[in-house]
Amino acid sequence: MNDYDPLIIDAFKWANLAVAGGVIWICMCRFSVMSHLTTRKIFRFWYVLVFVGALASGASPWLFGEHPGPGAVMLGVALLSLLLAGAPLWRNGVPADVHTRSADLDEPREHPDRRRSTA
Amino acid sequence: MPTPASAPHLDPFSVVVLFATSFGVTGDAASILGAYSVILLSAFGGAAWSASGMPDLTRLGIFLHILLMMGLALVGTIPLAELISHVTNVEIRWLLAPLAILIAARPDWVLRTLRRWFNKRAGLDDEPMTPTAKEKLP
Repeated sequence: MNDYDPLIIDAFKWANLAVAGGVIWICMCRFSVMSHLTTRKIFRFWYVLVFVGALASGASPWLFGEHPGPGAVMLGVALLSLLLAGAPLWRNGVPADVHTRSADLDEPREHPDRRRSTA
Repeated sequence: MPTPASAPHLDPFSVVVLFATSFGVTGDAASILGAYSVILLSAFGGAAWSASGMPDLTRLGIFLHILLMMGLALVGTIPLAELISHVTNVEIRWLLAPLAILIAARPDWVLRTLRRWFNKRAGLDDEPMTPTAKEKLP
């Protein structure tokens, strides 16, 4: 990053902070839907990791003195778009595959022998 | 096996100090920045974990909960680490991250676990089990 113009370094820094802020906001929205009764632990853990990672990335110029480059910003944008793509699934609460409750069973299928006898 | 004198410390505190010094922050400022960066990030994770487990929290509630837990961890981690280090002879740098996570994650849960452990050690009866939220469910 030392070869870039200071203006470009600043632009990357603020863009990265904005993207990280978006990721943190989405995680907070998901946390407001989750609870220990309804959400599987592994999903809670993954969202906590994303949440902390977004803070570490967005605040890295101040926390670690490390300026983000184009790669960090692109990765952040990719993560943000991935989270946004899943937003409709979370609109009505915790999605089925994240929920602690087992999935609903299918309708009972008729046994082939029984079907033959009634035909 | 004896470790070489020049072997670098691998704890999070030393890594952050190394980062900070490589970007021009030196001396005492780097040590303070390193310690508080580790506490801040760990507390953020711990507070997020407890927030994700609490039902019926709004976004503002989650924000306030995280802020409160981080404040608690920032205030409480160093004194508690000093105390535990004094008792157990473990270096403070190894205690910062786990203590900050525990303080921010769920102080009531940590305290309850500790109380039960002390009661068991002392041979005292623990308080009767109160029904958990899971048991209250229909």
